[in-house]
Amino acid sequence: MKYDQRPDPDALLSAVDELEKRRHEGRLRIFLGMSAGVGKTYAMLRAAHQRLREGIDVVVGIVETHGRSETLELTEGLPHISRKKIHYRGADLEELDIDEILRRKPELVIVDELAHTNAPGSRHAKRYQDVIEILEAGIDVYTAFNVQHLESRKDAVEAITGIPIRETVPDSILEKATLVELVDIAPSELLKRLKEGKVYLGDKAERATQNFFKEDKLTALREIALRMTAERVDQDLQKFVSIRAEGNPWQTNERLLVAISHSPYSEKLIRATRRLAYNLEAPWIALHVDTGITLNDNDQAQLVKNLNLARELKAEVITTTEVDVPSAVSRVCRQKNVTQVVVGRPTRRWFRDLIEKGNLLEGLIRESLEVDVHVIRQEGESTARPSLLDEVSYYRSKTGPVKYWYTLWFVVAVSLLGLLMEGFIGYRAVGFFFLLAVVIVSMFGSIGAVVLAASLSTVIWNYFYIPPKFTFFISNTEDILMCFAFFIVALITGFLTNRTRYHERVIREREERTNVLYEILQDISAASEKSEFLNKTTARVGKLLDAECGVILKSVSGILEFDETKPYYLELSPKDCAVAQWCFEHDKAAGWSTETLSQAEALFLPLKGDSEIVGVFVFKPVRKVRKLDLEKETLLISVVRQLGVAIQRHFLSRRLAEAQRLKDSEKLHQTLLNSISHEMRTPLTAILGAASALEQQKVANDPAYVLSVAEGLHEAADRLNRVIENLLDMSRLSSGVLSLKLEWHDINDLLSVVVKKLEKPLAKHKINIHFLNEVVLLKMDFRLMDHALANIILNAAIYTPAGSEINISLKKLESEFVISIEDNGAGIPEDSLSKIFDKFYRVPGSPTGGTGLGLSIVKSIIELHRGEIYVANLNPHGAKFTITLPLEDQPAIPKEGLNG
Amino acid sequence: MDKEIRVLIIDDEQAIRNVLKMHLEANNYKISEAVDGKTGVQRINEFHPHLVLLDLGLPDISGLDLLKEVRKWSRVPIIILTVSDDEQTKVSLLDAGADDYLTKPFGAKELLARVRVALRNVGLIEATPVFKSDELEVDLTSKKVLMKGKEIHLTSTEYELLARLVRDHGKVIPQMQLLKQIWGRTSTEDQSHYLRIYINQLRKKIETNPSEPKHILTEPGVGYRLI
Repeated sequence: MKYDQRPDPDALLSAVDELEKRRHEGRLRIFLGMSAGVGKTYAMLRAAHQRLREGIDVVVGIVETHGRSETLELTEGLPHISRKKIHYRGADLEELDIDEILRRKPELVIVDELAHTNAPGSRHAKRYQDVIEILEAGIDVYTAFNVQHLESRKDAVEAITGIPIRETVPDSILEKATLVELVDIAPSELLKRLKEGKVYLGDKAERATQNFFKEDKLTALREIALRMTAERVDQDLQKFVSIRAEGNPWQTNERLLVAISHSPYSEKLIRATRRLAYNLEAPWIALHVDTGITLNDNDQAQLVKNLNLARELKAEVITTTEVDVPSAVSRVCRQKNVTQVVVGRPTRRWFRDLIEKGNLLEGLIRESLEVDVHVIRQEGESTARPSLLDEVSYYRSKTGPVKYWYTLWFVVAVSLLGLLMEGFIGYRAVGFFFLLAVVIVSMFGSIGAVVLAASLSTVIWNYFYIPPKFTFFISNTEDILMCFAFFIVALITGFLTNRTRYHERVIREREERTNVLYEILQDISAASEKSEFLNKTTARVGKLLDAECGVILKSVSGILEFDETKPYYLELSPKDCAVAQWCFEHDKAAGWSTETLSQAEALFLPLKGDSEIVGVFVFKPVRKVRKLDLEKETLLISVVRQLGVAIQRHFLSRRLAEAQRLKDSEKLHQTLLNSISHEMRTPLTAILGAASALEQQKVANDPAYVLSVAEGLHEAADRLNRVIENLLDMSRLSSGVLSLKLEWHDINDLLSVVVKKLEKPLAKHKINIHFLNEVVLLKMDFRLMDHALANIILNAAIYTPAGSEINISLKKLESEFVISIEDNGAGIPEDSLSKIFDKFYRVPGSPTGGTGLGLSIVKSIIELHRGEIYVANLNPHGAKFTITLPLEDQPAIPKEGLNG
Repeated sequence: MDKEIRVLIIDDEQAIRNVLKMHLEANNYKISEAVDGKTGVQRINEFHPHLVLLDLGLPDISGLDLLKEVRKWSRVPIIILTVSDDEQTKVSLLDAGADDYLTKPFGAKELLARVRVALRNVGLIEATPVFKSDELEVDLTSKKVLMKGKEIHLTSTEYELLARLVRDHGKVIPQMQLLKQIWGRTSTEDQSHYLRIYINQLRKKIETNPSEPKHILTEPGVGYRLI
C-alpha cells in the first residue's frame, strides 16, 4: 500500500455515501457456513431471539427447520409471516411473501436459504433479489447460506466435491452485508452430527453423503469459507481506513480487463478476473468482441450467460464489433487505461491461426500494449485441441442445406460448361473455370459451401477431365501436382474472399448501428418539444427492433405519470403498470427477459439522466421471443441511455423556464401594484372631491354646479371601471388558452356590440364603420375580442383630439380575416412603435388615465386567437392598427323553406 | 300607477341599498330591505314583494343558493345583482330561474328598464299577444310580422326564433335555451353558428339598420334580448 498517496476525495465521498445509504437501507447479517448441517439456521434463530428480547420487532419470513426439533423449538417464540402459496404445474409451492413483509414493515426479518430459486410467477427469480428489495425498504435482514453457493467460489467447490451447483448468489451480496458471521464447526464434529441424523440432506441423502461429506472435502470447504471471511474482515478494515482518510481506497491504480467469448470457458475467466480484481480492489471490465461470426442458439445463450455473469459480478461490460480481436482489445485497453488483461490459454488450432494471424495472446503481444497479461489455464477436456470439424464450424454462417444444394448445382453447371469448352482450351484451362466457381461461391456462400465447392470441383476435374478420364487415377506427375495445388489454392482463395466479405458485413453493421444512434441523436437535438423526439425515437426503435415502444415519464411531483393522452404512451395492463412502477422505484430493468417480474409482456428499462431517474422506457416485443439478441440489446440500452439524458435536459430547461416565469410574474405583480394604485387613486380623488363639494350648501343649491359634479363623478367611475376590467382580463389571460371560450360569432355583430358600448366615450369623434355585406363567422371568445377591439378603439379616441375621425374596416381574405382601425390623429412616435404592445409601456407625453396594460392585453388576446396585430403610422398623419385572424371554413347550417 | 308595487332589496351593502332605494322610490315603488339571505327569505314571506333584487354575494348564503331555495316555493321575479363579468355565471343564474341580471356597476336607467321588464311577466304591466316596438309589430296569434305596417315574410325558423324572443321580450334568453327550443333538445354549443346566421337574417328583415340593431340585442357570451 502506498501511504504517501493523498486520499481520493471521490472515494471518500463514496464511502461516506455508502454509509449514509446504508442508514436508510436495512442492515444485512449473513450467517455463512461451509456446508449444510453446520447449524446456520440455529445460530440465526438464536440471534433473532436475542434481538426479540432487546425489544426489536422481529418476524420470521421463511425458515426451513427440516423437522429438526432443536431448530423447531427456536422458531416457536417468533412471530411468522405466512408464506405465499404459488400454484405451479399442479403443485403448491410456498415462497417468501415479500409484499406482506413490505406492508407490515418489521424491523428485522429472518430469511433462510438465500440461494433459493423462487417458483415461477414470483416477483423475482431468486430469493436474494427479494432480500435486496426488503433491505432497500429499510428493513434489516438475517439470512444464511453455504459458501458453495457463492458465485465466485462455485468453481472451486465444484472442483472439490465434483457435484454441480445450480443455485448461486452473486458476490455483491457480501458487500451489502454489514456483518458476515461464519458458523463454523470442525469437520469431524459435523460428520458425527451427520451420523446422529441431526443433518437434513433431502431425499438424496445417501448419495450426497458419499460424495460430499468426506472429511478431506469438508476441510477444503472449511478453508474456503474461512479464507473468504478473512478476506471480508480485511476489506472491512480497509474501508474503515479509507473513511478515516489514512490511505487511498484503491490500493493500486490497477484496472483489469477480461476478454470473453461465447465459450463456456469464459465463465471461468470471468470468475478468475473478479477474484483478482477483488483482491486488488480494482475496477474491472469484461470485453466481448463481436467478430461477425454467426453463433448458433447454444453459443448465443452461453454468451448472454457470460455477459450477465460479468454484470452480476459488477464488471463494466463492453461489447464492440471488430474482426480483429487483438486490435479491439488493445483499443479498449487504451481507452480505459487498463493495466492488466486476463485471457484464456490458447489452444492449438488447425488453421485459424493461419487465417487470424495467430491467437489472441500472440496478437496482444504483437500489439505491444503496456499491460500485464494473465493467462488463465483451462482444465479437463477443454485443453484438448478442438477437432477440425469444430474449427470449420467456427466459421459457419446461417446458411441452411439449401445453399449447399445451390453450390452443388452451380459446380455441376460449371463442369458441364467445362465439357463444352474442353475441346477448345484443353483440360488444364478448365481448372480455371473451377477456380472461378469456387471464388464465386465464397462471395455468396458460407465457408462450408467453399469447402464443398473446392472439394467437389477437385474431384470432378480429376474424374472427368484429367487423363485418364473417368478414373481418380492421374497418370501425369505434373497433373498430380496441379490437382493438389488447385485444391489448396481454391480453399485459400475461398477462405480469404469469404473473410473479406465478413469484414465488410461487420463494418456495415457497425455503421448501421452508429447511424441509428446518430439519427436518434439528430431527432433529439432537432426537436424543440420533448414529445416530438419521444414520438420519433419510440417509433424508430420500435421499427428497428420489431417491437412497440413507449415512454412513461416522471411528473413534476416526482411520481411516474401514466398519462394515456400522451402520444408516446403505450397501453399497458394494470399488472404491467405495476412492473413499470417497480422498475422506476428500484432503478432496475424489469419485466420480459429479465429476472424480475418476467411474466410481464414488456421489458421496462429505467430512463436515467445524469442525476435522476426521469421515467421508464417500455419495450414490448411484437413476436414471442425469449430474449433480444445481444446486438439489439446493446443498441436498445444505448438508445435508452441517450433518451434519459435528453429527457433530463428537457426537464431541467422546463424547471429553469418555470423559475423564470415565477420571477417574471413576481415582477409583473410588483409593477402592476404600483401602476394600479396610481390609476385607482386618481379617479378616487376626483370622487372624494366631488362628494365634499356636494356637501357644501352653496354648491348643492346650484343646479348647474350639481350637474357638472355629477358628470365628473360619472367619468371617474368609468375610469375606475376600466382599470378593473383590464385587471380582470389580465388574470383571465394569464391562465392561457384553456380559458378561451371559442364559439362561432358574427364579426359584424361583434363590432356593433363594441361600438354601442363605447357610444359615450366616442361621442366627440366621428366613427366610420365599414360593415361586411355577408355573414362571416369566426371562432372566437366573444367577450375577450369585444375587450380587445374596445381597447383599441378607445385608445384611438383618447389619443386623438375631439372631432378626429376613426375608420374601422373589415376585410375577408382567402384564409384570414383583417380588421383595421385607423385614426387621423398625430400618430405614434417612431421609436415607440415597436414597444407599444409591451406591458406597462406608455408613449411618453401621453395624457394620464392609462395603465399601459390596454394594448398588451389586446396583443395577448389576439395571439390567443392565433392572430396577429401590428401598428403603423399613416401618411400624412394618424395611426393604423391591423388585426389579422385566421379564417376557418364556414360552418354549414340546415336548409329550410319560407314560412307559409 | 294605481297599485303600489312592492320591491324587496337583498344586499349587504348599505351604499347599494341606498342608491337602489333612492331610484326606485323616485319611481313610486314601495321598498323593503334585507341585509342577508336569512332575513331575505323572512321578508319575502312577510312583505310579499312583486319583485326581488338579490345580490349574489351575501354574507351568510350565496345568492345562487338563495335563488334556488326561493324558486322551490315562489315564482316571484328575481333580478340578480352581480359583480361577476363571467358569462358562465350569468347563464347558470338564468338557468337557475333568475329573471334577469344586472352587472355592477350599472346605471339608473338600466335598473329601471330591467325592473319594468321583470314586472311585466307577473301581469303587473300589461301583456298582450301583440308585441310593438317602434315600427316593429309581431302578432303571436296570427303569426304576422309587420315592419312600418307592411307584412314581412320570415322562414319558419326565423319566425320561431323571433316568436321565442317576443314571448320573453326584454329578458335575456341564454343561447343554449334558444338552440334547444328551436333546433331540438340535442343541440349543443357547437351549433351556436345556427343562431348567429338566423339572428343575422332576422336583423336584415326587421332592423332599419342591421349593423346597429335596435331590437335584437346581443348579450355578449350569454344570449339575445329583444326590445
